[in-house]
Amino acid sequence: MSEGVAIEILESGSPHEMTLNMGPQHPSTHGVFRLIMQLDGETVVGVKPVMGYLHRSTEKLGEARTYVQGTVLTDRMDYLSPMTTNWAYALTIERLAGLEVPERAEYIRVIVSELSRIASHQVAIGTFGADVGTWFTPLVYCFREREEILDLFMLCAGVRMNPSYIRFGGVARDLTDEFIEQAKVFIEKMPRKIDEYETLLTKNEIFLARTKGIGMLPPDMCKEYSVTGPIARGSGIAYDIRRAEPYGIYDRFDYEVPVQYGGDAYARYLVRIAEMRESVKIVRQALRDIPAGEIKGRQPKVLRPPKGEAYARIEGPKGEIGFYLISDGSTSPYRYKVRAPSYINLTVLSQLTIGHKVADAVVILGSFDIVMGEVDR
Amino acid sequence: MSDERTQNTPRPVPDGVPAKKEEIATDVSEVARARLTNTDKTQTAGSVAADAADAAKGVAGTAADDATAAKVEAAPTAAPPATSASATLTGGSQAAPSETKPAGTGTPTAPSAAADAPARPAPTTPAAAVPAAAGTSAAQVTNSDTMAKVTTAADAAPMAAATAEAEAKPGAPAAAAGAKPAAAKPGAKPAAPPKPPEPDPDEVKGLRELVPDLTWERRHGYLEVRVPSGQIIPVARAVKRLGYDYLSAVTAVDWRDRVEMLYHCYGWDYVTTPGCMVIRADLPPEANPLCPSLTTVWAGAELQEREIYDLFGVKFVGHPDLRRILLDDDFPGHPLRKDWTFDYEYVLVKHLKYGAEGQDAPPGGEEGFRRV
Repeated sequence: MSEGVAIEILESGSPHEMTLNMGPQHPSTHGVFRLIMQLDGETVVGVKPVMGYLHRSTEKLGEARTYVQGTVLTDRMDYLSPMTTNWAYALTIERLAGLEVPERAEYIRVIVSELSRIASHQVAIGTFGADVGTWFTPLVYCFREREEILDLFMLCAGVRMNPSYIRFGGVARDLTDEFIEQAKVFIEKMPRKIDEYETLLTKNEIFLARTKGIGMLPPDMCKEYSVTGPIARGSGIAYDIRRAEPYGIYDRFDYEVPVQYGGDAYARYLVRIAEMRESVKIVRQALRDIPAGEIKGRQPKVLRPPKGEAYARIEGPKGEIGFYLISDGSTSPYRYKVRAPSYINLTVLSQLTIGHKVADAVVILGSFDIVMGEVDR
Repeated sequence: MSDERTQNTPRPVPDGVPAKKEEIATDVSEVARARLTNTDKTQTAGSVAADAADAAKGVAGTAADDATAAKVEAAPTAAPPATSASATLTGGSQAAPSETKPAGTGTPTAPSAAADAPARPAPTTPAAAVPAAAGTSAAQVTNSDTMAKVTTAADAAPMAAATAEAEAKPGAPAAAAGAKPAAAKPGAKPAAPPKPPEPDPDEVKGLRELVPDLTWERRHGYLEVRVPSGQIIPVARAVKRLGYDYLSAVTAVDWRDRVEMLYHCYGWDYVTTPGCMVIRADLPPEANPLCPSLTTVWAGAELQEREIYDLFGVKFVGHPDLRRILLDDDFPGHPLRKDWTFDYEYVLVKHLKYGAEGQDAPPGGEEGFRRV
């Protein structure tokens, strides 16, 4: 939170320019995020993002807690898609300690993670629609189905949000038959619901006018800035960690990695819509194939991984979620590092915003789909 | 921004001994200290012998099966007798960690060391290696631990080139002279034939021309190269040209005796470059160690380096906008450093005592965070 210095840097002395604060309490920032914008008329000539308002010292806390307690911290990062962050953390510990994951647990992980991805994209699309002026109809439509996903999470994990469901070595609880049935019903109707979202947004004239050509991110720049997730795939980079470095059992499913070549906010929206459809396909196959069996592998009561370090990453709804853990042989990690996709994607934000109007800055930020819990950690 | 007001006390640079070991290590030589430092990471505190000479003597006999015999014999030829003692210790401590570290996943140690340069097939000639071995013998004691670890790690093999990291252990010959000569038994090693080092992977070959004293290992399938911190930028450019053009994560680790930087580099084209290359570099354990910024190579490093500056105090030279990012500008210290302590005055008192004005003009002085 270096706002004072940021303002100083942006000050240019030109009589036509002014500094505008957007946020931290601004509906378009999806949390407490602040943009200090230098404006020439209505055109943005300089942007400094200021963050840290939601900093909860996750990495420091992770070093002070045991490995299983560290799972709880991961929920609070990307709170719109906690299952994927859980999985990244669990995967790192499994790589660190050499734990086995039973077959059924792998399927459960895929099911809840893909449901989580759908829920996250629903929030992204719904709030994005609200940002660009289609107001609350898409938002309400998206949240309608997101509620059903959260109900499913309540069935499997016991809570709607912050489930801490995916643990190292397996998952916390087994899926019930009720969950399987409800999930099947939900998955069957979900494609038509996605069609409804598209009816509201994809050919919407206001939506097109606000998003087409806004925030153009060329693929070279995307690679330079380590931008991942739907933003990269909206810029024509077919990079998905489920394909690049397959984890879990993703190699068993038939799905595609949607790529758009527009590079603008509209392309990112299209990628998210297509990813929801692919996630539906994956969940349908996983629900069909899920075997019976154990949900937790053999593991000690108190986990003390051998000395060493491990980095593992998964494809989250917002990009690459990575965890880097170092074990010194004790019950808590020596280093607990999070590679937060929302945070690193923000590196390119100021480059994209310069030259656009103020109202378009809101659109660009909305198309990035940041979660401040993950940015500030 | 004002590091004068931070609370991280600068730590002694050359010793690098954790605080809990200092009472043991104060009266022994530099070589023995380094030996204890290595042991500290692998054994419990109680098993560390207080008498370093005994430890060195004990492990000296176990070095026979290691590749270091050649170096042990090479060192006295080029070095004064005082350093030959430490060279023997080098051989001893190289074998010892490999016995105490079963998994080979232990903590990595200081950059790239000389150790068995004559046994290595070469970019480095033995003529260059022997003076280096003689001159930096004490540095090898810590560094040879890296090699011993590498021999046990996954499928990697001893490597390590000759280096002259003289500044890593200044005063090494003097300290070596203080080591007990009883530990020096150069003739006591019948020496098994040195293990042939695993040839460099293709990726490392190109980097080796850039950084001769490069060490590498494989961990969890990732190729990890360790370079001197001054060489990060050329190495990063070379790694990028190799196809690992996606900088995934920038990480810092405070190992108490050093601060380590890690760069995880993947390839955007995962078909041709499926793996990952990790660049590691060690920084001195100062309050604000300097590190070259990678923002000129990958612009995406900007926010990650700012975060590391914020939480670790590493100053990135060449960074366009090095400010705190997550914490307040007047936050005392860099909290992910292991010697950081909680400042109750800052958290509990400041905002109550000084109110809104106090936040603008902190009691530490006018100069400071709010410069507008």
